Amino acid sequence: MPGPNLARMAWRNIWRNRRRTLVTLSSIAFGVLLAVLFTGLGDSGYSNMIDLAARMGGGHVSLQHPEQLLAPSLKRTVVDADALAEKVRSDAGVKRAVTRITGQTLLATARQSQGAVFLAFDPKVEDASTLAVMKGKMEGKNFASANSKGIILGKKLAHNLGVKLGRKVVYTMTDKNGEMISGLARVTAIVSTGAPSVDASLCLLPLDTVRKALSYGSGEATQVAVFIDDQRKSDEVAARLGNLTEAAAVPWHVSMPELAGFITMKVSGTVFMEMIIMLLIAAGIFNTLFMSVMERLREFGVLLAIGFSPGRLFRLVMLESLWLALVGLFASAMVTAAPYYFANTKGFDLSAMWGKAGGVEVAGVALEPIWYVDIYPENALLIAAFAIGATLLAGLFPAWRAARVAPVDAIKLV
Amino acid sequence: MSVFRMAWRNVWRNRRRSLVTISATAFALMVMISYSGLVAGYIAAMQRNLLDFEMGDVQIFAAEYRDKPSIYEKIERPEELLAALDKEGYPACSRLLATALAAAGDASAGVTMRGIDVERDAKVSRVFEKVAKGKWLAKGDDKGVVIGKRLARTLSIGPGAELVVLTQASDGSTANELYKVVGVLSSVGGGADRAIFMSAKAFRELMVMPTGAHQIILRRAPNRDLATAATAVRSIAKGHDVKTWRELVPTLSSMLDSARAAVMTMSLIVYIAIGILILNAMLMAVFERIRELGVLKALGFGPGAVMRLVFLESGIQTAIAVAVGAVLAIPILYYLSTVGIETGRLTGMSIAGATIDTTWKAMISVDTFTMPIKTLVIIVFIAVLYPAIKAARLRPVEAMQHH
Repeated sequence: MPGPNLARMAWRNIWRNRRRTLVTLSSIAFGVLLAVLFTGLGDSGYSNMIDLAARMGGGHVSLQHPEQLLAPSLKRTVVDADALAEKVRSDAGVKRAVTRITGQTLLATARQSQGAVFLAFDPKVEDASTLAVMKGKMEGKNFASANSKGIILGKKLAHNLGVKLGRKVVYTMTDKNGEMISGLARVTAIVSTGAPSVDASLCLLPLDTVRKALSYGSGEATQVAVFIDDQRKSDEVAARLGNLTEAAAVPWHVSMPELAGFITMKVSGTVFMEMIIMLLIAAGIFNTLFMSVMERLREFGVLLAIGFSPGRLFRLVMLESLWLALVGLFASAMVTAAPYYFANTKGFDLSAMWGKAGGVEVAGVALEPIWYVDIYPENALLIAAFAIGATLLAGLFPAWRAARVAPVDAIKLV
Repeated sequence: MSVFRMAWRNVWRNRRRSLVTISATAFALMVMISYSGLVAGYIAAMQRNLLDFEMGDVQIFAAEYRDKPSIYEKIERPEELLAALDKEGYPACSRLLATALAAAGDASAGVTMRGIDVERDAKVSRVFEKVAKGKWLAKGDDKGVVIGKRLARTLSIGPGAELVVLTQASDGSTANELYKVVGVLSSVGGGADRAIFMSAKAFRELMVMPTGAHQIILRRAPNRDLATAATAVRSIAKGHDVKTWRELVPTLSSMLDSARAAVMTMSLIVYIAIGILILNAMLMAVFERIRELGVLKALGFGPGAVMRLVFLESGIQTAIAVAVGAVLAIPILYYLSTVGIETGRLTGMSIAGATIDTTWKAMISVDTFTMPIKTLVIIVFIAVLYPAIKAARLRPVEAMQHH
């Protein structure tokens, strides 16, 4: 049946009570603003945390001996690590791939001894983008080559050992055959990263020197650390790389389950809060829509009397809530733009939340003081879809109520 | 008719709207009360884990030890300090500390050795409750050691395994001894996860260190706060380095303190959503009664009285919501504080050095209820301000002509 344009009628209806509509729109905008900021904070913050963890540990994906994860040992190696790294680099998803030897060692000076974690790397291949320690404040120099006789110590570790630049340190570890071996190294640099556990326990050694000391072959190592552009693709890349080699391809969340657990906990907490806020906002929308239906019962009776079907009344009210949702999203975009831009470029200083003293670590990963907001596009779409969905859902009952109006009774209403 | 009765009747003139407002408010309050209970529980558990299993309340070191941890920086006569602390009623124990390389099979790891007086230590630290596999150190067994979780994992060993410890003794000689692992701890956090616990006697023999100790850990006497305890201990242990746990782990300490602020922020956000809902509901309630309010004013109701009426209407709804929300929160909190939430793979995760329990339980105090309620009342008050002022400023003649 031809008749007035429903969408147009609905549009006019929502503006009949401007103040009420504006308050409703502001509640939608408030909800979307919060959801976008919180989700965006997590999207970029946790992504950065994962990238940092990857650069502190074994990359986004680590290729290693299948038993290395459960029973770490310098005996369990990847024999053709260098060749494997070369092969892996040709994968489109891989940004960097580097070979390393990591394990435990005891460092000793004439007076002191101290347990430490060592990481042996090739100074020609690695820089701060694969080895986060390199970004710390370094006193002294990096190794000249992978054959150098140097050692780089964390600041607190050097302090505890009582050594300064240029002094000698003896490292002891178990080699490939399970024998205890020792080597002498000169402190070429002392590095301070700001992460307490790193500064107190990490030392860096040149790759080839350690290979020789542990009687490894020339291309042998305990690990190929693989770095990728988007940490969310870790599993995908790990699955692909796992097919290339006998070694196990371990994604970051398997080698760092605590970090993964922390992030899951935080993200589900945010989602839970967002759901609750959404529910409350939907209750508010329900209230206004229902009110607007109840005060128009007479009008609906008239519409029915002139030939509107209950179905069209239902659609009319649903269209009103759709308009509210769409205008609400537009308002949200207006309200969110400036704070988002600010949070995206300037970031939030969360150091107050982590504690004033600084140097907070979660599961061994230092937390950055400044967090930027940078939402994944698909999450922004998800928030928009939820906002529209919740508004439509809130409109269902009022729309149903409007469709149930009996024309004669309704017209008699005063 | 009293203003209260009028307000009460007004609330129920539009039952459905009032019910939606009340239930949304009650729901938000219920969630926030449960949330604040959970956060309080989480903070308390982290602090308890840290103090009971690892740090104690106050620690004493030789003046230079913390700056330069070395076996030579020792408390010369720990027995005298312990006796003095006993007299003052502070449970205390001394520990011997050193680093070493531990090896089992073909794996090795850098470790911290802790030599303890098994009997005395139990009065201060409940770390013995954290044995996950095997058992705790037995008195008199000087060949048995208990190791931390990470160390056990690194070396892939469990109870019954043999462990070689290699280090430098205090006389400069190479110390080297074979021990038997009797127990493995679950995650404690801090250094304990990479530590070897052994008897003080075994430690002294290995390190050739007949006297002295590196650390004294003590708990505060009941009904004495941390500052008082620290002052008392400082006067007993003159010339030593006395530090409270807050001074030893300042980051964690301030993080625990700032958790309250996090609850406040969260409740503020949730309540703003509620505030907007209430604002709209009360605006509707005022605007659909403009004529009626005009009549009231014409009858002699002053602006103040009208404002009071609107506030009362909202106050009644909020009061009901607070009662309902708080009552509904009780069974939830009861469940959360007795059964709790399984933390699953988060168990043993450390945040700034403190670990998370297997089950996360809520902690209930008066604060759990009052803080969310107070915030709610303030937000509701702000939300109603505009409709109330609007109503108070109506001009009687115009209002009565309003259609």
